[in-house]
Amino acid sequence: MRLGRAIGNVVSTIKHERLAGIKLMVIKPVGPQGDLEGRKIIVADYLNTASGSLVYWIENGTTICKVMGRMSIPLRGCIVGQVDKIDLEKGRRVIDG
Amino acid sequence: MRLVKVLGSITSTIKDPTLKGFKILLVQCIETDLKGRQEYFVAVDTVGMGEGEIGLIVTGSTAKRTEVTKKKNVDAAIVAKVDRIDLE
Repeated sequence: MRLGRAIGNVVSTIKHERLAGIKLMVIKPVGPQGDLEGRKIIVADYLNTASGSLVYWIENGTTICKVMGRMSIPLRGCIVGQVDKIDLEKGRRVIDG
Repeated sequence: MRLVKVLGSITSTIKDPTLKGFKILLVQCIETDLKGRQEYFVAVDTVGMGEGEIGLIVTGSTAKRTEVTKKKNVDAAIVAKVDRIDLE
């Protein structure tokens, strides 16, 4: 999975039928020091994630289809967890989700 | 597989139900000279890693090919702890 900050929602009414009813969020990849140069991406969310939360998501297609309970969805990312906190080893720095 | 260093552990109460009870770690990809790279993964620990330790992760669907992660909604798992690397 990858770590990122959910920074917004995407509203899309006209889309592939198997994407119907799936909430889409904008994610900014994040490293332990906060930002990462990686470009922002759009992923699905079924955990009712609030914008601004620190999350981790999966990129593997077959797993996403299983999570969404539908076969062959044209989707390349899905949030599977929200981070409460990360206990970093050096200097005991804690990142709050 | 990728060589990684464990940076820390992640506490996460709201998550996919199949991830319940897993130790979830934040890891950083490293070179064989142990220098860190700007690439991080959130991986399920299947071998009992400690913080700061070096390990190997598998990503993608192969991450589900261990007894611990079978049928779980993960796509990154630490599957080995590295003791030593001998280079030419």
